[in-house]
Amino acid sequence: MEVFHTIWTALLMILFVLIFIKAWSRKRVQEYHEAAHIPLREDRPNYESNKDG
Amino acid sequence: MNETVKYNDKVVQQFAIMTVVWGIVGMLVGVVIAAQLAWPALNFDIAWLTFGRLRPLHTNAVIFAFGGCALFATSYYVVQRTCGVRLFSDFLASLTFWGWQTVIVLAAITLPLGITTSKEYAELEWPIDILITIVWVSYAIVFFGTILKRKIPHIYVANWFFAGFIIAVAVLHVVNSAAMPVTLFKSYSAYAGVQDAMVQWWYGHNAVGFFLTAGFLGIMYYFIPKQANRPVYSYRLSVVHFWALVFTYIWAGPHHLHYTALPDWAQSLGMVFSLILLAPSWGGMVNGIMTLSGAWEKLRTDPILKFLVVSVSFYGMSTFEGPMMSIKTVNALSHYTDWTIGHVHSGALGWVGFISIGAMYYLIPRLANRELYSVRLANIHFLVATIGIVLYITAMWVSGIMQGLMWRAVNPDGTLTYSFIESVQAMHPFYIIRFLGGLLYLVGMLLMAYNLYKTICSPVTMIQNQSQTQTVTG
Repeated sequence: MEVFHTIWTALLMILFVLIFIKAWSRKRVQEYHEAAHIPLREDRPNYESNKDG
Repeated sequence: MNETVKYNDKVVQQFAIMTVVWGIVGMLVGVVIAAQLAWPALNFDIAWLTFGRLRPLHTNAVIFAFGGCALFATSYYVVQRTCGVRLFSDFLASLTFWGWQTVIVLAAITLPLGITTSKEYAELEWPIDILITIVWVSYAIVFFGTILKRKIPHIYVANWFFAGFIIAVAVLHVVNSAAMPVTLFKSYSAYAGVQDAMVQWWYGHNAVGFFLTAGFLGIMYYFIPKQANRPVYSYRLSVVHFWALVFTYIWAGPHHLHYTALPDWAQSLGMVFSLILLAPSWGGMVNGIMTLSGAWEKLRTDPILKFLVVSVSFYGMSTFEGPMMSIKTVNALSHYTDWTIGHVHSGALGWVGFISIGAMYYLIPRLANRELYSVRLANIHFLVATIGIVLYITAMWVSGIMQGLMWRAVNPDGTLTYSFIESVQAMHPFYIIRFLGGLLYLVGMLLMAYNLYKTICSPVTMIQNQSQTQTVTG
């Protein structure tokens, strides 16, 4: 049981590091920029359609 | 294809109004028991009014009634708007409202009667615990169902915090409340001895971490950008904030059991993870405050932003003080003293209270489609409540540190310098100051209730309220 807990804890640590790397990835800059604006869109109801068309 | 969505704001409005109502009730009970500590005769020798019975009523009312209603209201409001869809089920949403109000009323009846499990922040007996479970499962279905049918692909970070809070509280409630019923009003915990204490404080600390922190961070990540009209300062920091908080908080509970029968390694583990918690907490605080970059001038005139931003400052203060108090040598002085009460209330009144108040000043006028009746009154509320908090927490800091020092003072021959009653006498002036601080905070809540009542009753409506509908691309 102790070995299982040790492996489980190590896996969680690795998972956290992977999430951190993913969050800081340059590939996500644009996605996060758009995501940060989600709360501000509702005051401009046609935001999505304006953006698309 | 464009589709206009009509949100379910009825349940949001119901929860928002009850936030104010239960806030006043819970804080009134708090002021009464603060007065009882200064003037013990105020319990009038009536068992129902004694401190031991009213104190859990106060904590349950402010945490689960005031804080809980604020979380239901804001999460339902935010998830609809950031997902671009109506709530998953109107029936279940309504069930959560009436179910939660029933839980609160049952708590208000049973706790003064002395019906309690004696587990801190989980005092309610097993039939009420089952009702809480039913309400919480319904809440989870409504929230996650809404997320599943969302029209906006990205799940906004506030919803991650609300989701984490809903899942964690479900697990905490079920595990900590496991008990063997013996009668309708009496049960015994499934755990015994130090395991019972460990489960209790795993629950207790994570009730703070997930109910009173993660959920309210969801409020911060939506309402500060919204009110400042600026996107969150660093979205990726908010993502790291969420995961770091979730990974770390769950380990910190044992710091409530320093110098007890709990194994020493478990105490140290709790202390270390509490210290690590400082990093994500301050990352989140910086993210919240820096969202105002370029819009600082709004703080001069906007009472909603004042409440929201000062709440984040108190979040930073409390999350510095908490890890510091978890260090064993500091805890040797602070534990069992009023310092802990001061720490809790800088988080409760400053962080949870102010962010909820800010969110209610934002929500209730919008949901009523009216302008706030008096901005000046809201500013006065902010001032009165801030003075109240400062009086409260400084009195408790001074009283607590003095208590700790008096208890540990010894004469050269090894006898205690002060008797216990001498430390109680020394605390008396600070109990009066604490009572006045709490009273000022309650007065602020009454001003808020009057202001919002006049807002709702105002005959003048806003021309257009776009926030109640949204056009999304289907």
